[in-house]
Amino acid sequence: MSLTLKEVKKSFHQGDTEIQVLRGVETEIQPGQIVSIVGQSGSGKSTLLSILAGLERADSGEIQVDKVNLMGLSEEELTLFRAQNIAIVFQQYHLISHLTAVENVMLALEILGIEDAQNKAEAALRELGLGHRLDHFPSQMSGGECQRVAIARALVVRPKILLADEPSGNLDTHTGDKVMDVFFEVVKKHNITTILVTHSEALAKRCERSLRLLEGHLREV
Amino acid sequence: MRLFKIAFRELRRSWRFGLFFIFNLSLGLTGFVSLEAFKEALQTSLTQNAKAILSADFAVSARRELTQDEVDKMRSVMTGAMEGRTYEFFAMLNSSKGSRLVMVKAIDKTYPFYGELILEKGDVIRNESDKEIFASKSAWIYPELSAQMGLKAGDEIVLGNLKLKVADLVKEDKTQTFRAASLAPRVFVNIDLIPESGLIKFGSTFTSAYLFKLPATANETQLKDAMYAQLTDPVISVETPQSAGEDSGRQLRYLSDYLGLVALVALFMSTLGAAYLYRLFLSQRMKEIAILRTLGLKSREALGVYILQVSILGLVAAIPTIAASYILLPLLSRLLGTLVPFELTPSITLSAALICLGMGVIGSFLVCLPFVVKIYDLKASRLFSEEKFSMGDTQTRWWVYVPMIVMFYFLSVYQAHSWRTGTIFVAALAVVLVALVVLGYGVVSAARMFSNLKSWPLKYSFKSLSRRQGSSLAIFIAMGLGALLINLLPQLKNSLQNEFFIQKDSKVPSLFMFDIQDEQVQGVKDELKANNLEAIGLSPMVRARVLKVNGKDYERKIDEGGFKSREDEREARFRNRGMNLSYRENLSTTEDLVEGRPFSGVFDPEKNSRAELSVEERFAERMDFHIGDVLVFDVQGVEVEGEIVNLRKVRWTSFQPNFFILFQNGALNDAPKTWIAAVPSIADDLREKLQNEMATKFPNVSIIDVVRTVTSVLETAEKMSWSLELMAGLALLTGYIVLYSIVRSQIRMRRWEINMLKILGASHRNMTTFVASEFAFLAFLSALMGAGLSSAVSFALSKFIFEGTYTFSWQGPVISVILISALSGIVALLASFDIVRESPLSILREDKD
Repeated sequence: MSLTLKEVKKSFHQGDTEIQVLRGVETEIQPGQIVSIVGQSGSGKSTLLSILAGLERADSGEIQVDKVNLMGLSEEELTLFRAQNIAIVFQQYHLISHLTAVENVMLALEILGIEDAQNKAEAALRELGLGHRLDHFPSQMSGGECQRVAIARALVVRPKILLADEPSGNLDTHTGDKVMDVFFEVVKKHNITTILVTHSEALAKRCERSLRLLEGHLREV
Repeated sequence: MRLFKIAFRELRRSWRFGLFFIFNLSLGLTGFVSLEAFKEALQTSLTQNAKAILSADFAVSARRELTQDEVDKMRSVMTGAMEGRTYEFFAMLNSSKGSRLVMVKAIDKTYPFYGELILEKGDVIRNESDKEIFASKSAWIYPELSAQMGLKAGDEIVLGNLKLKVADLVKEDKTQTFRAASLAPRVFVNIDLIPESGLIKFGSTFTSAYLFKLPATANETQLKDAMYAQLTDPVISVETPQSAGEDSGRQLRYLSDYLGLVALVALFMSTLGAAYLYRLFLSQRMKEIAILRTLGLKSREALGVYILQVSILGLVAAIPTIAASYILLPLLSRLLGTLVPFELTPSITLSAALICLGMGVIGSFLVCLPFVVKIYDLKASRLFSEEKFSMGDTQTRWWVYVPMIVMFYFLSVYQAHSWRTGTIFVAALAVVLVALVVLGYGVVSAARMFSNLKSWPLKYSFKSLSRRQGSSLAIFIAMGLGALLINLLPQLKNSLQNEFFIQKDSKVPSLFMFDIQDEQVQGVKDELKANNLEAIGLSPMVRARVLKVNGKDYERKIDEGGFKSREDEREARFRNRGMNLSYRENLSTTEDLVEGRPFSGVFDPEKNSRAELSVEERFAERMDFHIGDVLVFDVQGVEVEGEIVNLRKVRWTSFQPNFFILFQNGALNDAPKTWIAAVPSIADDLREKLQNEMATKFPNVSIIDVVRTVTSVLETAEKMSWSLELMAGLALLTGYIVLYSIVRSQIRMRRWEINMLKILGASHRNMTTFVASEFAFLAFLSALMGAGLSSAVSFALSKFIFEGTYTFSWQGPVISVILISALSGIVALLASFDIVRESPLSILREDKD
């Protein structure tokens, strides 16, 4: 699934002051491409990610996913579109504490009404090397394992676009590298268009293409 | 100051928690504090009106005539005082409009020394007033007689041999005390007419009183001591305004004892909610405490910060408590104020406010103690690891719960004014709690069975329910207790009402007759036979007083002040009054032998040294009588000795003639006596007819209309139960606040989880189903179990305490279960509304915090 951004603008008000975060972001991402976005803290990376996820509306511009313009969708249509096409991986994992690893993954399938959730969830976890952790609760797993469960949850619904927000940001370098190895392996295997927001130059370099968000504009690195 | 700053800053930041904690606590305290204020107002009014209630400064009374010697001794003590005389006794009032049992108050011209009667025509009767009833043969009657029989001023009434005109109706009687307690309306007559009436005969039930107005310099306490020294018979009662005031508010105080216990349940529930909230709050603070520890804060200081916080919260909780009490108090006064003749103007007094503050601070501290002590176990080194800080993984200290349990126990005893009732209450509450915890675990486990449902919101709401045991159980217990309380009273009332009215084969008699003279027994039997009836439980009644128990003189119990339990008060009352004895060959159908052996047959003075006695078990317990004890009675000047051979259980609700002490047949048969009997359940018209015929033929025989009396008692019980239901309602409301608080905190804790589900594609409708079904299911089952437990408790109370029959009514519990479930669903939705509706974007933003 391709992704095209044209003149995307977004600003916030802080008291009487208007802060322009995105001043006309433009880019085009090809289907299956893995793109990193780097930038300083406060540069607007998370805002851009929120807009791409359909969680926030841009003030103006165009966000084209294949032939669908996200700006033209209603709230309800946007929710449905996101559920069917876009998945997100968070820095903090955001697993549901009282559900086991397999239940966390199953939940994503069940919300979309996808059949055979149990088998698919188990397969997704095995693919990420967590076959031995299926019935463990998040509190019983390490940070790296939790993040792999979160990646499995994101990928199990076979999204067309994956948005990842500092997926290894909470992990030590060694664990982070191992998690990202699996991450890249799986997204490539399933040919998922991936946008990865990170502070890490090293991680950015592992992506096929790298963009920098600077003064509200995206530039190729 | 440094600790105060830290404590205050944190509270200011966590104002939501503080608000809910205070709200929870204050709602529980409201019932407690309102009741304290009400009791104080009652006590103040009783003290203020005590002279009017006694209508004198000093009174000497007995349920017999004082001997000339006793009168002389009494007057020797009361030199310089003004003296008045009254008689009080039940009698049948007859008129062309029917007959009724009335309480005759025979007065002299001095009555009342204090207080006043306000008559319908406008006359105000005081000590010095001219009184029409002394000018002509007339009487003042209570307005109830006008309402019940249509009597009005000018009508003729008959009391024994007396024919009197109704001079006026008494609009207001400030010498009356607990209005609802009187069996029969009062009729005031001239005391000089009593001999002519023929109503006071041998064995008649009456109270003869001497009232005194003392000189201003007199000392009541000294006079009371002197009087007791002179008049040693325990049946002679000496009263001052203070003792009269205390005695007259007894029934209302008993009621407030029970109201206090219900208020305690509300307090318990609110502390349950507050404790839950505090646990959450503190577990979220553990990491920060660890950080403060690394910055140099000592364990003791950290503990101090949180104790300070809890104390501040408890202190602040007093403000909404007092505000809410101002709403509850007028409601309580309106419900209970009709039961007393004087105005009650309760307000939050200084002592009630201090109790509120004390309870708020100490209560909060004790409730939070089990969690606060965990600060001691906190390991700041965890900051170096990935481990999360939580409350559950530190050592468990059981002693931290002890102060809370002890305080609750003493509060229960204090509220019930009874070690026995307080202990039973705490034990019953503990049993109910254990039952609710066990059922709660059952429900939580059963929720797992629904985790294979097709609908994901339902499936995951059941999973959430079963895996978040702490919050699920807290909600279950709070709602279950609320449902139990709200159902208990209506079910008990329903059973009592059914027992008296609905059963066609009701064994409760229609009429109860007493003061039947020996020579009238056959006439009464004939009269009943003429109406195809037979007297039930026709029993002789012999007046007596206890002289000795096991050879020791049986002395009057004098109040020496200090804490008195209701049991102590009751014992003193029983001990200081005369006794009605009877004799029987066998026990009646309403009695069961519980200990000892049956009577050995008819008493034979040739063979047996002393007669055998049977004593009612609860009476024996109060009087500390045991099997084998030898009692000596004075029966009209003759000493009669008896030995207790058995204890009986009596079903008093049968309304059949029964006695605390029974003699073996043959021992008392020659003693002067009167008779009592009951008339079986009959139709209303026959009941009226029979009452009229009996009142005409046997004017000295008093007849209690059991149906009318029970109706009046139930009406009073109804009024009282409203106040109890008000408290139960408060407890249920507290349950909802606990539910709201827990749901709110749970939802806030699960905020990102809810938003995560939205990101995964869950719609608002899904989320609403998810949240509402989880809490409504829990509330439904807790209400169901609470209603079920209330049926079990009301069954146990009906069967074993009231010893009556139990009638289950399904409508009340079903309606309450539906309403509680629906309301709980709504409360849960309200508590989660903003979070369910918010944009999932918030968690992306918070991720960066």
